[in-house]
Amino acid sequence: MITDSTPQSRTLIFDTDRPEVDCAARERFLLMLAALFVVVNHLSFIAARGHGLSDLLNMWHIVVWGGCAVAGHVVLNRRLPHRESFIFPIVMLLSGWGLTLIDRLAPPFAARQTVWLLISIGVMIGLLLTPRHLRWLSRYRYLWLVGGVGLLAATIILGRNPTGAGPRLWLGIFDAYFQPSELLKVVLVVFLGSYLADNRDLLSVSGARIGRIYLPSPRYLAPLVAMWGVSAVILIWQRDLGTATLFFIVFLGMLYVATGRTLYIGGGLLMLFVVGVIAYFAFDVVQLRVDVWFNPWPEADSRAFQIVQSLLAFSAGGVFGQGIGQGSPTYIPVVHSDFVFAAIGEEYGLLGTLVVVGCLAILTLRAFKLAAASEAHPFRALVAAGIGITFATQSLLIMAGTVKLIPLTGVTLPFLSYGGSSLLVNFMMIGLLLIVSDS
Amino acid sequence: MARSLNRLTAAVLILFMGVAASLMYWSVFASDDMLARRDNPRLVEAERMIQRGTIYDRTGQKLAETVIVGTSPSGKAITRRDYLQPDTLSAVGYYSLVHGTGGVEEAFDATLRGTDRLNFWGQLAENILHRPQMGSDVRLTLDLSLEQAIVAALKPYRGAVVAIDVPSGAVRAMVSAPSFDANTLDSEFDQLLKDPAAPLLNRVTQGVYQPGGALETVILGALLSDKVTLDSPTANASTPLNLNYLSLTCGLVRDSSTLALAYANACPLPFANAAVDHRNAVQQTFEAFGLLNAPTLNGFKTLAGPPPMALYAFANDPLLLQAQGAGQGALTVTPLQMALVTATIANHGNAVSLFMADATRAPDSNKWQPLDVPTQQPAVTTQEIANSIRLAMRTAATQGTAQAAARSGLTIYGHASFAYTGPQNNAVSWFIGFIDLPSGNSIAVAVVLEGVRDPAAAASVGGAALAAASEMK
Repeated sequence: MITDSTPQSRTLIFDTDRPEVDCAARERFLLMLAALFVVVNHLSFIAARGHGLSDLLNMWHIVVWGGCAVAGHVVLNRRLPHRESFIFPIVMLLSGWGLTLIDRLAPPFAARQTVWLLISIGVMIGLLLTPRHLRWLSRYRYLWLVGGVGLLAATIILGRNPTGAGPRLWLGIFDAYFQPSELLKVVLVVFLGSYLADNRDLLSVSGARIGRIYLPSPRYLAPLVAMWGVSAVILIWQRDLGTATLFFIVFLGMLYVATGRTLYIGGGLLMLFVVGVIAYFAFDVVQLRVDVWFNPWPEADSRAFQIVQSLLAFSAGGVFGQGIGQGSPTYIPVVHSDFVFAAIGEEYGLLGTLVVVGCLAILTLRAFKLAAASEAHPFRALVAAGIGITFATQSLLIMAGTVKLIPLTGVTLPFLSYGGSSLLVNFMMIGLLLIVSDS
Repeated sequence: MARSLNRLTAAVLILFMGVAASLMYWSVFASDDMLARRDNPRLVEAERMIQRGTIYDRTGQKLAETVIVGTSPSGKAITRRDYLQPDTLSAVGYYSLVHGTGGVEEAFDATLRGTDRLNFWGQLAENILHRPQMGSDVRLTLDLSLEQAIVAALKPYRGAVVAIDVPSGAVRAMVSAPSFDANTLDSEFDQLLKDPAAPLLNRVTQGVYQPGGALETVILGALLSDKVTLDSPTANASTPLNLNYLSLTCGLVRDSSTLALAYANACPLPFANAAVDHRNAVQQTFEAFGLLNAPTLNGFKTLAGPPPMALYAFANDPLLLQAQGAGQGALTVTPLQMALVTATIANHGNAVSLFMADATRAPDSNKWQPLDVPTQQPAVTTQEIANSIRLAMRTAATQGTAQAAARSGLTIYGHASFAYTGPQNNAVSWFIGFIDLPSGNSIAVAVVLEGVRDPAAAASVGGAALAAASEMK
């Protein structure tokens, strides 16, 4: 329990002095469990779809997934023998589940997502093959930052939307699209990790004072705020408010982890509220989402259709769900992207959604655990914490949005939603997390 | 850093638990209320996935069937209800996702949907396996050719005709005009509701009219039970009956010197006077013939007029008693009630029990399973009285107001008359009659035509119905 504040007991929750276990064997066992679920799940879906035996050819998605799992496991065994053994099986379970869901909800996108999974695992393996000290990341932080922000800024001029309408957040080459704001997530985590690792002591030292509140030194805080500010302005310009919110929370979280000052959290949340109020009056989309969050029922068949259908999907699923391919989640617009969690609720029921919540919670806690264990290496610790905060924030924003706890933000559910850029960047972060775990 | 991480961990765990709690709320606690919402498309989809059973007439002709017409947004089979015989729709009714069910579709809804086919465990298994809900077929006692003949005969009129097999009680025809097209019901429903001709009203079971001269058959039964004979003289039978607001005359102004002739010519005065002089017998006969209660027809909504006060309550008011006897009092009837009166006469004084379907067939079977049909035939009057009324009806069909029902080669029994009904005293014409079939059974019909003060018109429609009934296979 996190009740004692003495240095010894503080880290009890992240106890790293356990007896050595065979990481590879445990990971292999967990991957086999994941494979069992993914295969049975997809076969059930094929049976439910009732397209006949020829539909078995669609198992190629799962075959590719299996190949990715094996390749990842083999490379991990060679490169990172002492890694955290829960992380890779969990994300493979979720990504395999996601493939079946996309085949179920938006069949034309399933092949594309499978290819993205292949690319993502390839990039993750590429990361695993880089030097494990990660100094190349830390050293060139401004380069990554400028590159990431530059790509994001390019969407203002060159941005496209694969659907032909809506926010133009993608850069496209031929028929392939990439969303730079997704890449900026990992860039943000790396930049903040690097900068805060170098300057956290200075940021902890107070500058000016207002009453009993000590303010941080602007000299050290300014680059951070500027970096976040530029990103946020571009995202707001592009109406990608969900990602802007995610960035802000990750920024606050990492600042808090680095400095331990609650002022950042308190002040940041206050700022978020103020900015939210301003955005409510400034942006129609924010107003819409707040209005339908507050009271969706009078407009259940118009402006609030999406959220009401989402809630109906959870109710239709009940405890055990309708079964894969047996519910009606496609009544929810863009269900395969923003509302895949509601589709899980309808077809796998409360039990299915709790498994997803559990997996994402475990992933987050493992990242925090790694951060705590890497305290001696601030950059690695902050990267692990930043990745944990990113996964947690993104998951909570979309899950809480679909169950009407907070207004909808339109971010993807990690590993489960359709979205190649998101999948790629999530696997990049998993790669970094696994590298940190092997230290 | 460890302290910050611990706090962050606690905060994140609380937030994840908040999501889990919210999931529990929507999936379990709010589930029933949510799913019952009218804007839940799953309700409509579930309904549209049901493969309702087919409705057949007695000869195996399809009257309504469900066909698969496509897939829903969630990839499930979508069905449509097709009505194949427009002439049967006033009986078959309608099935609509928006407006519910009516007629046979309503009466046999549980069978057609398949909800009465499985027990709790069977239903649970079907739900778990997500098998499409399939209903049983229903075989009606209606005869398509008879329905078509009646619709053709009724074409110019607004009214109703019902035909009953005697002694079985099987309903062979049930036609209400004007009717509606169940295939386009949803798009025309508002218009149908506003239509002053009330096409959605099944006049056979729910059309309540003044019986007028149609009550003479019942009162004749009461007089016969009070020892009055058919050849009893009737003084001044042709004299108009003046009620406060109406002057009623015979249907045919001819020799009406005996009770049989007065009945044949539908003269109101002798029967109005009978309500004064034989009020106890008349009251008992009303009750025995079932005019004070709605008839039972499995699953159908049937009506009777509001229960009138007993005749002896009007002992001091002869005019009111005369109005009752002339069928212009508080007693109102439906065509189905009058058909039952006729069937009782045709059945030699015993009532018949009505039914509309005689078999069902499970979706995975080729074999029809007979339904339990009512068989009670309680005595309403004596065979002697019934045969006397039969004789009087034959006289009316050969010499009296029901002559228009006559068809060559057929022995038709009938009685035609008229009444004034409703607040505006609109004229309606009645015909009740029957025919004996070579099989030993009989077919009894009741006809009512709205806005027509011509008993011969009703008799003509009734004759056409009975002629068609005689040709039924």
